[in-house]
Amino acid sequence: MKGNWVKGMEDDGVSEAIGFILIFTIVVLGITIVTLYGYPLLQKSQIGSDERIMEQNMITLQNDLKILTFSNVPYRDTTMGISGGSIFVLDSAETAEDDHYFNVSFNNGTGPETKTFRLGALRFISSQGQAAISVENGAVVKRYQDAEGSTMVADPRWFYDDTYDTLVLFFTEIKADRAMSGDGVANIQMSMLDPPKVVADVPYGAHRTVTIEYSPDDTFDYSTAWKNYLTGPTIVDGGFTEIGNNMYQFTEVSRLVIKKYTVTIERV
Amino acid sequence: MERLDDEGQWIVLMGVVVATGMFILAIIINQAPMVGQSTSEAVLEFPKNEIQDIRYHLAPLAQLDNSSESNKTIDRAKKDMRALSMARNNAVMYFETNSTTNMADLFYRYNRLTIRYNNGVTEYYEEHLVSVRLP
Repeated sequence: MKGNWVKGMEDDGVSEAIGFILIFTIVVLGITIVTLYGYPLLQKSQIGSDERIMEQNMITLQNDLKILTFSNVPYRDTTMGISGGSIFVLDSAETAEDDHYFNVSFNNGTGPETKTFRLGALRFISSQGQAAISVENGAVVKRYQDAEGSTMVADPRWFYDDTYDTLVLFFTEIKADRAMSGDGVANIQMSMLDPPKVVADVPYGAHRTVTIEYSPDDTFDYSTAWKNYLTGPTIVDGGFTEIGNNMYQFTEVSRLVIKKYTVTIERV
Repeated sequence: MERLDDEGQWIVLMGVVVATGMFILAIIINQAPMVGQSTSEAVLEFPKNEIQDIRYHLAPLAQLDNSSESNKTIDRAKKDMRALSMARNNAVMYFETNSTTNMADLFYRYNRLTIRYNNGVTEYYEEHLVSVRLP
């Protein structure tokens, strides 16, 4: 240490060793705080961003399904990077075992009729987080496995034409001949070799009632998402009326069209 | 430390500037995957050709007169067009022709044609007059 660097100030107590210890402590404290708090925060944001990317990927898959079904294209494949989890294909028979299906009750002109639609699904399950994002029945739905609710990320294309009171429902069944899952970079190949079927086309003339029932899988319960979609204003202003647990009703239908597509996932 | 050397302070300043810049860039990159999909989809999905096809087939029908023979043809076409639109385009399609309007000028009589097309994304409504040459 040199002499007084500010005139009149004593520097007898200034020690290089203590100075070093102080600076070293600050550096070590800084590193500790970053590893203790910063790193988990970074990891959390990484999980969040993975989930967001997968949400986007699932919308891409839904779009491919739309091209496959609505544009009558027989084959389609998508390559996507799957980060922070894996993607699974669930055959419609498997989801039906889990009581996961749609029921549509309507009057077929001569009497009441109920049709059951099995769904199947493409499902992404996060390995670090809690998110489960599914493509089911042409919609993208998301939920957290530790929480109750669920939300619809992308709607299916159900619609109601209010000029002639026509309700159009599309059901997309996903089939797979074996269990499949993918992570890393996955190439998802799908085909629609069965022609789409018009399951029902009933011109009523007068207003009739159509009831839709959603039966959710116990573990992957997306009923809140479907409830908000059906009772919300997406299909028709005012939406369907909830008449019971997962039962929704709409009374002003003059013509009902139900179309069903069967998509096979060939490979993941 | 004879005197404080403050020549290198710009290095510290640059550090702050670069750090802030990288932070802002990171936020922008984080937002990036959210855009793009829906905008391109909207352009691709507009059913221009489908609507043109329908108009092409309906114009001759609308020129028919009001005889029972033509009404039969039109009724048949209504059923066919309705079923075809649903099967091929997943669309609800209706049309009406009205040949009883008394709109006419020296050479032409005008029949009214209304088309309604809805595929859940695009709703299309058209009302137009088809001219028929008077004998």
